[in-house]
Parts: sequence; C-alpha cells; structure tokens
Amino acid sequence: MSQIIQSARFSCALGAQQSILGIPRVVPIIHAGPGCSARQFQFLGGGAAYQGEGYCGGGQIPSTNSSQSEVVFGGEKKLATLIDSTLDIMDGDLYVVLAGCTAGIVGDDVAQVASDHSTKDKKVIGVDTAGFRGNNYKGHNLVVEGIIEQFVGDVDDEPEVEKGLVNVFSVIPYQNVNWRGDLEEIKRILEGIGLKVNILFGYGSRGASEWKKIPNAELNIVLSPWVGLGAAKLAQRKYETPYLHEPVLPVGLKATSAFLRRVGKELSLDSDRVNAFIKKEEDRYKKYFVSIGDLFSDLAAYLPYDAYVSGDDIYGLGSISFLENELGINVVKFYDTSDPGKLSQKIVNEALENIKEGLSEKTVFEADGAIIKNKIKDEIKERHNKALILGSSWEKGIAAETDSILIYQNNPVVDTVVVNRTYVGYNGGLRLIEDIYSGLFNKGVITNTTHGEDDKI
Amino acid sequence: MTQLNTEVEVRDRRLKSILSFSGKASELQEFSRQLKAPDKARTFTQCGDCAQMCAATICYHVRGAAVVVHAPMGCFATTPSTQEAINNSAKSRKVKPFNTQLICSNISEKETIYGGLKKLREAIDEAQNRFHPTAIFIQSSCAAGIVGDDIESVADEKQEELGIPIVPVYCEGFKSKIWSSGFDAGYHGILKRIVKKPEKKQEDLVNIFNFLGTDTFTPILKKIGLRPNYLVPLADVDTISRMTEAACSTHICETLGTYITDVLEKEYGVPKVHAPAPYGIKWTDAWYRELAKITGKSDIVENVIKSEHERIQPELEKLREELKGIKVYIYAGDSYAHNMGSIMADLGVEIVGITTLHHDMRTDGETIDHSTLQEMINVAGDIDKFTVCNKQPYEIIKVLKDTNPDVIIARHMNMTILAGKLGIPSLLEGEINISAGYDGILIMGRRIRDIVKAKGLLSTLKEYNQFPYTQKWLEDERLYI
Amino acid sequence: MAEAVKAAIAFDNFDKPFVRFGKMDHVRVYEIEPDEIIEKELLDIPDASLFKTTEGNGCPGKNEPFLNEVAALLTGCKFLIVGETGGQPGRVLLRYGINVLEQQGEVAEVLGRLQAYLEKSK
Repeated sequence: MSQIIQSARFSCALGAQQSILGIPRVVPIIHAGPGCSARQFQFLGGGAAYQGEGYCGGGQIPSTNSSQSEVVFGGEKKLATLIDSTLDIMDGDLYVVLAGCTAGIVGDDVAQVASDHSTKDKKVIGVDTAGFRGNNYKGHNLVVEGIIEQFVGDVDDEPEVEKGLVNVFSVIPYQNVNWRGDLEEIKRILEGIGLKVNILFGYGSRGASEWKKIPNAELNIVLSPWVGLGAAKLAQRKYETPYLHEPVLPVGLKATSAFLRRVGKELSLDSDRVNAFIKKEEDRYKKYFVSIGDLFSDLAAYLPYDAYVSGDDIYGLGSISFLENELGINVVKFYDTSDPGKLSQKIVNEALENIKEGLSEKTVFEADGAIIKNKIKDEIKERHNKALILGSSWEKGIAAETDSILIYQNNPVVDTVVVNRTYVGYNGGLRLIEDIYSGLFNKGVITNTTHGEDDKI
Repeated sequence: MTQLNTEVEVRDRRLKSILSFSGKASELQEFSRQLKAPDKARTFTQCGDCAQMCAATICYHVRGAAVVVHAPMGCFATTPSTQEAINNSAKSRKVKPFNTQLICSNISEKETIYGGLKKLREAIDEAQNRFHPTAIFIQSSCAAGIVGDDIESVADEKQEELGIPIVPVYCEGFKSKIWSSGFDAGYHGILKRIVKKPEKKQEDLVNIFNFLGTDTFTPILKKIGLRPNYLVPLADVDTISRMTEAACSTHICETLGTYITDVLEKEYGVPKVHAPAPYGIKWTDAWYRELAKITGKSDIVENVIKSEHERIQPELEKLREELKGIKVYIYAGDSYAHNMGSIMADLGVEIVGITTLHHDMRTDGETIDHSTLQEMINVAGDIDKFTVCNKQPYEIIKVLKDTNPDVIIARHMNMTILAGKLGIPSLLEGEINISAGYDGILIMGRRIRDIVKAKGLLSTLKEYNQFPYTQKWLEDERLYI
Repeated sequence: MAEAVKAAIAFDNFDKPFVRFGKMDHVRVYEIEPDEIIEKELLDIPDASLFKTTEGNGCPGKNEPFLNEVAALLTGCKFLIVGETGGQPGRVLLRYGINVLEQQGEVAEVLGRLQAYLEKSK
C-alpha cells in the first residue's frame, strides 16, 4: 500500500477534531501549530460536501497556535491559560484538548493539564492526536476511547444496566460524508424495534450526558469493521457491557432487516414487535422498489452491472453487500482507502467473504487516490461495460471520461452538497437507488429508439 | 480632472467632520479605552493560519514544478479544489491550465523516531517518476522541523542526481507568529535555487508579484507601453528564473511582495516601484507615475491618467449613487485593508470599521505621517475604529454587532460565516487582481451593489443560528482577553 | 551540538531581562555549550526612531529598516529571547536565521531550559 500520497483520502489523527465537533455542545481545544485546525476543517468540512463550522467549529475553535517558544520551552503553560479562558468564553458541556505534532513530539502532557484545569461544572480531558500517530480513522478511535477513559471514567460499583439501552459505535463524523443522515436512520430503525439509543454523535444525540450513560447500556453495537471496536472492547473491560460486532453497515431492505433481527435476537427482544416494525418498513420499501421496476425493465440493457468502490470499509462493505445482493451489480474492485492495520484488514476480508465468496481477492488496500482512479479507469476501459463508481470527487474526471455513473460517497467531496441524505438503512437503500439510476441520464435522456453501440468506452 | 479632485476633497472633509461632530468618534475612543492595555498578550486564541499554507500559495501553482510536502497527511489533505483553482485562474489569466503535481511524504510515528529523510527521498523519487517536473519544491512542516530532518542536504543530493532545482521551503507552522512568513520562505527558496543573474534586460517588462489572479495588468500596463510578468503562481520555472531581467518590480500586496522586491532591488539592481499598490484612484495615479519615472514613460503617463479618469467617470458616478448610504466593514490583512479603504473612498461608501490595525497606533495619539495607513486615512477619512489583530471571531463578533455593516469585505477564510451568522453578506476576496487599477474600482462597486441581494437568505441563517459563546463573554465589555 | 549556539536576551534600559521587543534597550549575547553558558558581550540596540519608514506608525516592531538593523547586529545568534513581541519582528529576523522566542523568568533558568532543549534535539 502506498505510503507516498498524491491525492488525499484522509487527513491526520488531528482530524479527530471533527469527531469532537460531531458531539453536540462538546468543544475541541487544539494544542498544535497555528494552521492545524484550519487544515482539518478545510478537508473535513468544505471538502466533505460543504459541511460548515456548525456550532463551535471552523474558525471558532480555540487553539494554542503553538510557536517556537512552546517547542523550546514547553507548551503546557500556554495550554493551561487557553483552557481557563475557553471555559469562560465558549459555552459547552465537555471540553476535549487535542494535541498536535508540536505538543506530541515535545512531550506536553495534555491529559494532565486538562485534568488540572477541569472545574466542578466543566470537565476538560486531553488526548494525544499528534498528526504523525496515524490518520483520522486512528484519531477517531483515540478520541472515542479517550472520552470513555477520562470523561465517562470508572464506575465504582457495577453500573445499573438499563434494559433496552444500546450504544452505537459507527460512522465517523465528517470523514464519512453522510454521517448525519446515517446516524439518524440508524437511530430510527433501532428505536423502531423498541430500543433506546445512545447514538453518541450527530443532531439526534444528547451530547455529553449521553456519553455519561455509556456504562448503563445493555449492549454495545459496533456498526463498522474495525473503527469503534477498540471502544467496545474498552467498555466491556470497564463496564462489562457485551458488544455485537456488525462489520457490514446495513444498506437496503435485505441487510437492514437481517441486521435488526440479529440485534433483536442478541437482546432477546419481543420478536413480534421486531417483526412488526420490519414488516412495516419492508412493505413501504418494496412498493418504492417496484415502482422503479419499469425503468429497470425497459432500460435493462443500459444499466450498470459492474461496480468499483473507492472509499473506506465502513461505507464500502455496506454498499458492496447491497449492490451484490439487491441490485445484482457485480463489484469488480474495492479500493479500501482507510489504511487499516493487519488485524483490521483480516476483519475486512472475512466480512467480504461472508458477503460473497471471492470478494476479498477483489479488494486492494490503497491510500493514494491518484493511483486508485487511474486503475479504475484502466479497468473500465478494458472491460468495456457500463460502470458504477462509488467514490469521491477524485473520480469525477475518470467517470466523465468513461461515461460511468459516479456516486459521491467518500471524501473528498467538492462537487455536491450533503445535508441530511443517507445511504444507510431502509431510507438509505432507496436514496442510493435514486442516485444510481438518476446517473443513467447524466448525458441526456435514453430513448429506446437506438440500440447501437454508442457507449464507446 | 479638477472636478473629480474637488469632489474627492469635499467628501474627505465631510467624512472627517461627520465622524468628529456626530459623537461617533468619541464613542469609539471610549470603547477603545475600555480595552485591556495592549501590552497584554491574548490568553484566548482561536485557530489561525500557518506559514505552510502561505508558502503553498506560491509553490503549489508553479507551472511544471512539483511539490513534495514533507509532513504528516494533515498538512497536505488536498481536495480537487486545488486543481480547480488553477484551471479557473488559468482561464481568467488567459493561459493554458496545467496539472497540480503534489506529493505528501506522509510522515508517520516511525519517522519521528528514526528521522524522515528516507521517506523524503522516496517522495522526491515518486515526484520525479510521476511528473518529470522542471523543479521540485520541498515544503517542510512542524513535524519535520522538530524532528530536525536535514532537508537541505537531501535537496543538494537530489539536485545533483536529477539535474533540476530541488528547492527547500522552510515554512514550518511553528516558526513564526505570523503566517505571512510562509511567503518569505517560498521566495527565499526561489531566490536561492531558481533565480539567475540576468542575461539580458527586458525594458518593457514589469514584475508583478501576485497570487492566482486575473490578467488585469496587461491592459493597465499596455497603456504606457509596458507588459506584466506575473509571478509566481502560473509562471513556469524558466520565467521565474529570469525575473531579474525585468525593468522593475511591483506587487499587489505589501505583505506578499515586500521581501522579494527588496531583495531584487538590493541584490539584482531591479528597482522596486516605491508606491503603494494601485488600488483606488489616488494610488493608481501615484503608482502609474512612479512606474513611468522608472521606465522612462513620464511623457505619456499624465495623458493616460487624465483619459482614464474621464473614462471611468460616468459609471463611477452612477455607482456612487447606487451605493450611497451603504456601510462597509473591512476584514483583511494590513495591506489589503488599506487597498480596500482607498477604493471605498472613491466609491463613497462609509467604512464603519477596519480590522487589522496595530495596537500601538491607537494609543499613540500622535499625528501619523506618510504611511500607507495615513494615505488611506487621507483618502477615506478617519475610520480607525478598532485595532484588532489576528482576526479572532470571538472579538470580531462584538465589533460587527456594534458597527452593524451592510457588507463585509473579507480576505481571510472562516470569516464570512461569522458575518453570515449575523445576517451580513460578505465579499470573499479570493483574488485581488480584479480590484486593481481604475477598472478595479468599478468592478468592486458593482460587486458591492450586487452582493446585498444575499441579505434575505442570510437573515434566515441569523435567525436559526446559535453562537457558542457564553452569555458572560458576550456581555463582557472587553474586546479580547 | 557541533559548535556553541548563540542566544541573545533582550533587556530594557533598567537592565531588566525579557523586555517587550519594542522596549529593547540592549541585548546580552550568550554562548550555549552542553556543559556551560558564557555571557559573551553586550550589544546596544539603536533607537528605532532613527530609522525612516512609512509603515508602523512609530511602532519599532513594524519598522523594517530597524528590524533589518537588529538582525545585522545579531548576526551569528540563533535565538533572540524577548518577553513578548508581535509577529513582524519574528518574521523579519527569521529571514536571517534568527528565531525570536518569548519567555519570562530568570536569565539563568531560561537559558538552562534552552540548553536542555538543544541537547535533546541533537
């Protein structure tokens, strides 16, 4: 896998600043160089389909703007001063200090300084997310585990388990571009089968107070191949909460219904209630699906049956399962851009084999977007089939060149605006169908008056 | 011409007198006095910019060159917008676009322990193999700087091996408190490894140090028989190496161009145009005259100035009518704010505040002489409302609420959203060549006139928005802590 | 360190160290070696008002000719340590390879910490 990168698909560990911003009313405090925070926001804000600063992000984020003086003499004093004034000026429920490269190499102990400057009402914690420690997938894991360690902390006796309460560890704010819509749908379907959901991130979360209740959950659901798995294991060690590992994000009817049934079984939920909800959702979904049947049938010869996925495995596995099992689209290649470690790669490959045999052989772990898009282009030209690409704005050029349908599902996305759309769950499956088949008409309306070889690739 | 001057002078006097008699000036003074003593450093700072980002505005856009960003991914994380910026700019500059050629060495934990030079060499080789560039810039980073990677020696080694300039740019974010040091770093590298002694002189060539910008200087310079040599974005390595052949140098931004134009003058005998950049009528006049003096065009310049004034007069008058009563707040770096102030004076809009001025000036109370600030005050009237540096949103929110402008002219990222959340439309100054010269005044006038349409949408944003500041801070009389 | 690193500390006209950049009266230059720190010389800083400029309105920190002169005087020094400064002095001095740092405290203590940093980053 490339270490040298030309077209970025992720940022550094400090990108976890955006994960912090994904929790309502939690304020990140950056202890790093002067440009770090802004860079993260550029890539993971504007570059994530124009998601903006929201409540306290963007140019509002407090930062020590560390200079040479902090590198030579240490930056803890400056950080301490900043924390104190932040508590006065910024209105939040929890404050999370993130250390960047300068603090990380120099050895400033942000967790200690944070703890020393917490007040009774306002808790401050600190996590070392120095840029060189890894990418922002790693950074996200570090902050989630850091919040559990330092904010949720230990509980003296066994925590009181609230029946039907679940914590969800899933998509990464901003890095997974549809995260807000995704989390809304995940929360909706779990509530639909009778659960109470700590969704932890997004507008449906109650923020810090929700995280405080993590120990009280009956079950942790890890809805991703490897991001969040460490947090669930941590919670198991600390609070004895069991976890259900669902590496494949449910997309569309088949995967979502199966997922809900597994959750129901795991928690011994009333199967009538679960089935009733599933039936209602399925009935609705099927009607929508059938209504596009005419298009599927008339234009069957023009539909894409080859797909290329260029993005991380959180979105990748879910989409692949949907394409293969519901839409009959064959995944030719999956370029996993998240740079997972060896053990995580194993999880990804196993999950792929469970979806369909042979998929792991079609998977390449590659972080350089420039390499990926050129390879996809070459393969499309070689195969000569109408292609669907689930990718990023880096694929825009080759999609146009090969007359392929491009779905913007992975960062960076600068060619469209995302508000609350999702490709997860029942609603997500329908929305994905809408977008894929609308793509047929990128170059104009297809009529059935010509059946010639006009798709010259 | 006499008519124009009279009008300008009358307006100057009127502005000055309004501010001193209406009581507004004294209100401003009082507010300023309540600020903590300027000797105290800020204890609350919000995120800024860094030298590496400024260096990138120079290095990323050199035609044919590649850039190796020797850093972790966070310093690099680029999007296709970088390429689009070149495409769009090339179009407006009427030159061919070209591909960005950027590589990140992706410094990881291992490099911080064992050093990153091996990876740097690999990255340079990748850049060479993928792009076959005419030069390779190496941008340093906080991580590389602290680890102490000897970029210079790798640059020497690779330059020898590959036979193209390998240019280290020491733009580590922590090295300077002001990010414009990044410009110095970029230019320093260029001067050291690319710029050559002149083989000949091009007497009609004027170096223009600018950012990615439209070709507005060809028509401006053509009028006195000169032509622009745009530097550095979009120029190729050969053109950059021969910047010493020019007759003289000028720039569109003091902060950007001061260092390199100084060096060119002192070490290569390329005179610098000692006049502020041509923004607004008075400064464009002065700039033309200086330029003409250096290039021996003084005989024709006065006629040019006269006919240009006449040419823009009709639309300028129309715009003044349309813009009457509009209040503008300028939110930019020192020099650009001055540039804008000059134009606002010509358009007759009221400047309700400028964010950029230095602390000491305010408490001085002495008369100021021929600074660019004074030049602007001379043409625009005394609008020194706040001396706030560093563009911190938590301060500016108070200033904007207090001054309540109709339009904000912002040349800094993340600032338009603050204005937007207060219902105020912004002109986000992405490129500034279009505001230069006499036509620039008209263009700016039209843009201000048209941007107020955004008020409706932004008033909804204001209604739905919630700021993250505590009530305690918003009610605090201090401007910063 | 291959050779000694020179650091200058800014003093005001009462010989108080770590003064604000604009109030600098003189500097003392120290040579820092792994096992000792030697005061080498005292350099007077000229009055900024002697340097003509159109910028800065009397603020020494924005007087480029003055800043260039300070840099020339401090040739050979890797660091200038002041109490506090705006951004421009750091920017100009950096062009000459001089890093401006901000600190407060006792001279010996601050230089000791600089010495420790230089040792660590060898």
